[in-house]
Amino acid sequence: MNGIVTILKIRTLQALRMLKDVGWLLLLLVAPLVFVFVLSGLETIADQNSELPLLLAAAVLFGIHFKRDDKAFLERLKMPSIIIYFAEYFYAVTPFFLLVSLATGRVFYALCLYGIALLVALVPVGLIKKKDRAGNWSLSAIPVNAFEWKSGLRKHWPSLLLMYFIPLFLSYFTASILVGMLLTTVTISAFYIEVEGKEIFEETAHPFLWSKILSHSKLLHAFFIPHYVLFLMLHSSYWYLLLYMSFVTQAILVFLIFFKYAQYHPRRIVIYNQTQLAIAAMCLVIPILWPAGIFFLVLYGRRAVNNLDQLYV
Amino acid sequence: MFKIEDLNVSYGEQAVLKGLSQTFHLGEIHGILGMNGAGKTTFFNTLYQNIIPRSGLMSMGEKALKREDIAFLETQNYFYPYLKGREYLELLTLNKPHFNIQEWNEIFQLPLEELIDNYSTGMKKQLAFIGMLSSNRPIFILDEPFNGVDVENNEKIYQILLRLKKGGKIILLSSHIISSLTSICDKISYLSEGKITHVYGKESFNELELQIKNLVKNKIDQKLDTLL
Repeated sequence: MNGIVTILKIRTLQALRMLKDVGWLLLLLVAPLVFVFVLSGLETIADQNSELPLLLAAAVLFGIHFKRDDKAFLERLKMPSIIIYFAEYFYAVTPFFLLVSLATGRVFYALCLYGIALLVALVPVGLIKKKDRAGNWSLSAIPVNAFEWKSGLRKHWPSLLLMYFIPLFLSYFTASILVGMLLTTVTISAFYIEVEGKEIFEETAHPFLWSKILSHSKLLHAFFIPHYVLFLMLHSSYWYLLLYMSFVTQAILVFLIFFKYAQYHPRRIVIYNQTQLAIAAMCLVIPILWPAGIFFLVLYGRRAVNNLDQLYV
Repeated sequence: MFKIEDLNVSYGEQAVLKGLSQTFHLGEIHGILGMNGAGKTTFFNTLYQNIIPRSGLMSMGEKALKREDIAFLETQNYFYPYLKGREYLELLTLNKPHFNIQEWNEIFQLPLEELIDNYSTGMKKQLAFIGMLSSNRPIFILDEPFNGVDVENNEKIYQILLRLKKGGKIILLSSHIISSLTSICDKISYLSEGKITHVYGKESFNELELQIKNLVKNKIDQKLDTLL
């Protein structure tokens, strides 16, 4: 029992460190959006006999389970791994159990979460090979110089899958698709954190900022075609909200490219400054802060152009 | 001809290259040998203009040396994550229709449809080497090109370097393994404490090997006597 408590303590600390890494500002930005999602989910559970939230919980837990790479480590502990897995998942679903039971009164429904946790824990971790999980897809439809997207889709597909499809499933709610587009763009921001080596940069970078923005924008909006279609089918009277969100995601994408190349250096591997990124994104999302958002766009655009000019003296 | 004169590089107050001068000729393979920390990588990075020297001249023929004159294979090659070998090479050859990825890969037989993240150290080195070849520049700088590469592929790299030499390229390479330099280089410069202290021609490679053996032996012999 002590062992389990120690592991759960470690997991709690890891979760807190992860949140710290994400950055409090970005969390503050995302928190209201998550809140809207949770409310939509609770409303679905309370009003309808929908199993969708349970399926979602199962998908998330299976996703985490298959991504685990601590199998060898856990096998060295003097405790069956299944017990550890179950304890961890039990711990993870408990806040949701409490939320669903208290907010909707559907205790049996909430108890199913523990059933899912047990089912997931029973599945052998090595069932899906790590290589397969890496997303070794061809992605030939994406142009070769949009390597950030090829890499990003392969690397972040589990989180993207959730951010992308859940809003489509919940598209009945007007806010769902809009929030989903924003969360997907936030996830896509991770595509622009890694920096290409100088040899790729030299071949693809010049003259490139504008052509890069153009080709990446095409990809972004092609990615959102199902969102656009569903929204216009279900909530066409709110077309202006879709237009607004489309502009916001476009502006964030442009900022991401500017931000990356404003700081690009051939010997740097990762660009990561969540605080600046979160502040700029927030300014681009909230209409009253748009002047500040435009200021950030211009500032980083100029920095990117200057930086590239210096690298190509 | 590619020439450097009185090259000085410092990291803050610490001088790393101290008045380094050398001439490299077309169609020559020139080895750079030195102990860890002697300044080999700094020297290469300065030539490639990743590092700005405090003073000194670098010229290619009559003109100042430019980054575009050099193809550089670094010791540690950084690959963008989750890209396949083919995609990496396609990116490097976007504007080089003459470079046939498939045919070059017939030499190295790399699994180009695999993610680079799954490649071994040697495979990554070979991939970066093919990428470097695509740039077809007059100077090739290879920092530790044989690290982690197996015997067969080492030999392939040797053969390709000899062909490039025949084609009039200037090749600078470093290695920690002296035999990998003596077997291919026309000259070897010994870099010590930021200076080229001696340049050895082919006829004096044996002397170089012996000198290094003795240098190391003298350094540790006494200690080994007490330990073993």
